Amino acid sequence: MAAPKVAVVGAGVIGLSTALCIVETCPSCSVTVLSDQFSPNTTSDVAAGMLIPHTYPGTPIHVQKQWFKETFTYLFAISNSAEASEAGIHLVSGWQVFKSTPEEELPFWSDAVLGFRPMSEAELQKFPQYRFGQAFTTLKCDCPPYLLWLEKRLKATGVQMYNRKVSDLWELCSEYDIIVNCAGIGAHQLVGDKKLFPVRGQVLKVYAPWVKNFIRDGDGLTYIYPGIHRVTLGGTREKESWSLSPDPGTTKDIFDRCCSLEPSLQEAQDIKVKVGLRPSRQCVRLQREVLSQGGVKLLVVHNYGHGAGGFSVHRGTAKEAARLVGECIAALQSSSSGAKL
Amino acid sequence: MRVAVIGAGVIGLSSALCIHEQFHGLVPSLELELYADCFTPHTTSDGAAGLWQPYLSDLGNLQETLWNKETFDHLLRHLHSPAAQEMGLFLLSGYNLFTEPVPDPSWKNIVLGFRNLTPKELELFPGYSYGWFNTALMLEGRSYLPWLTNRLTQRGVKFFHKKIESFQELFSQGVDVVINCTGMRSGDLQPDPELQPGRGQVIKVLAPWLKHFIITHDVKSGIYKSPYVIPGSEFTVLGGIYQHGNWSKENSAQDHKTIWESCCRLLPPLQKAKIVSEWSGLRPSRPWVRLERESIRDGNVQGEVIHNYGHGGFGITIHWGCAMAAARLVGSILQERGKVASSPQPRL
Repeated sequence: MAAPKVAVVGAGVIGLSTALCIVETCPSCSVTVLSDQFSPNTTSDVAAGMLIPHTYPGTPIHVQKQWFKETFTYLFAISNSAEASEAGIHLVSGWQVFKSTPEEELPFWSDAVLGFRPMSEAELQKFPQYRFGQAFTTLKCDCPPYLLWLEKRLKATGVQMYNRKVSDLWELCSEYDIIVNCAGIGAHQLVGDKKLFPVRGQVLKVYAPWVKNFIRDGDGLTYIYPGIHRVTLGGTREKESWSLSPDPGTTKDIFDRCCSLEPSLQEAQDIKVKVGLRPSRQCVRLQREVLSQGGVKLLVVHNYGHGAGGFSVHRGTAKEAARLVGECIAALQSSSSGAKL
Repeated sequence: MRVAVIGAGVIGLSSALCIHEQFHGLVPSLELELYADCFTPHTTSDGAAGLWQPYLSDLGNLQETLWNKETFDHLLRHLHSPAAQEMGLFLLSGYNLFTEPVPDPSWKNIVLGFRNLTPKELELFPGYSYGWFNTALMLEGRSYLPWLTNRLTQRGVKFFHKKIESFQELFSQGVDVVINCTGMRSGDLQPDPELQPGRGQVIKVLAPWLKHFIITHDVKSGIYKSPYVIPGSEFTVLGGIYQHGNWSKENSAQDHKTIWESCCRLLPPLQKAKIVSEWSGLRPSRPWVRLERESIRDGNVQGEVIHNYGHGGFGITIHWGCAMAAARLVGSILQERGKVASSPQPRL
């Protein structure tokens, strides 16, 4: 059988990292990335890229933990290499603070990040409205650098990338053997997944280079994440809102909330506003599917629905998706006629 | 009463501010002047990265530990004030690394969140088997010194760009008290064999991805002789040079190589960092800070000198505690001269 032709739909962090994992595990495959958006215009580019997991209600915790650990280990190695600044990966320390003590004092990922411990009384004094907190060190993937670095690595292995809007997976049936669906929020239309819904997030990206520590309110709504050049201030979690237009009232609200956590942000300069739609789902859809139409079969691997936790688990889910692609290839190769199933 | 501060580094400017804040209201006749031949951005303080961190051991000098603590607490109180950013003041977390276990430092309870490093964290730093993590403060000289200067100017303190040749020069002009904050060049005003240069050299680079300070220690070699990396608000400072007795302020190619190679080995991502500038300075080192009063009499010229120099590589770390102590000494002088009502207890 000729080298399997794999199309990855989507060029956000999930699409690009999945394409890279497929290339790594299946060197004989021909991999092509198709997307209607590339960095800096993907949902991933809006996100801060902090490695702080989101909990998916529909996925077993040990699986989420595995995905997070794999992602953390992978990025940890890059952060300490000469490639770190190009890849946009860096360590950042800070605090997660709670106005009332959380039910779960030890999140499932506490031993996967570095130096996790409760905040001291002295540290909490910096946050007078908060009664409890956790201090730790984690990683941040800055976008666009990380996505551009992934694109560069893909191109170096011969992966082609095309700006193309795929409206129906069947469009690709004649050109590709396996389709990997990393379309994020696009999967709502692309495969008609009604379990997928947007959670709108508006953020500010500001110039405040003296902010070196992250601060996050445990409610997940207010956060300050220092990146390489800009600090991301957030945010909102608006379920079922599809609007990509920045809202000025929301901008002021985010700024005020962040300034009350970190007063020096009053001096922040050059405020840019961004909006992204988190592709949310009870659980990440990470599974194989065989589509059938008029006797023709189409092998699909889905890897979408990461919601607020895309960066935190991207490498772990990419590896699993690559493994599923491997299963598809095995299925193709075992077909007796050699022609498409 | 005329008080003249000599020196416009962090010690001189902060001493002047502290004295003015404390006594201006109480002593209407107080006139405060500041003399220096060198102002920001050309002082020794401007070259420092600005990290608040004392040496590893206080050598039993509790006084200095208290001054360090007073400084940290004073700065921490200003952290949420609108002035913080203008002052160049912000929190910074980071790592101290060792090749063997060491006792906890005197300042472990002064900084925030002090703890030992976990084995996983130590994986980041091959060659180092022990270390600390804590959150400290940065006070960047290139912002702080102008800020102090502005506060003093607003308060009507007069600045003179002038090299003072002797204490007597000022006394003969009618100055009553001189605050000697001349750092490395105190020896020009009064010989002091205890004061020696601790030459340092630093490379400034652009590495905005770095969010932690990393200070390595070679306990046998001594302080600052091991690589360190300190990210500021704009530039990152790479250092690791301490040469006792070396008066040269010229950049050395050999030291550049030492700093660059050792810092890149410590932090491989630095290899891609762009070098912006290089600088050498002389830490005004002394076995302990000279902070004391001295009556000077030379013929019919006399006056009081309050010495406040010899802060080595921890000037920013200790400055406010020393400024307060210097102000207290000014207070005693004012009391003796009846300028300020003495405390309710009878004078002993």
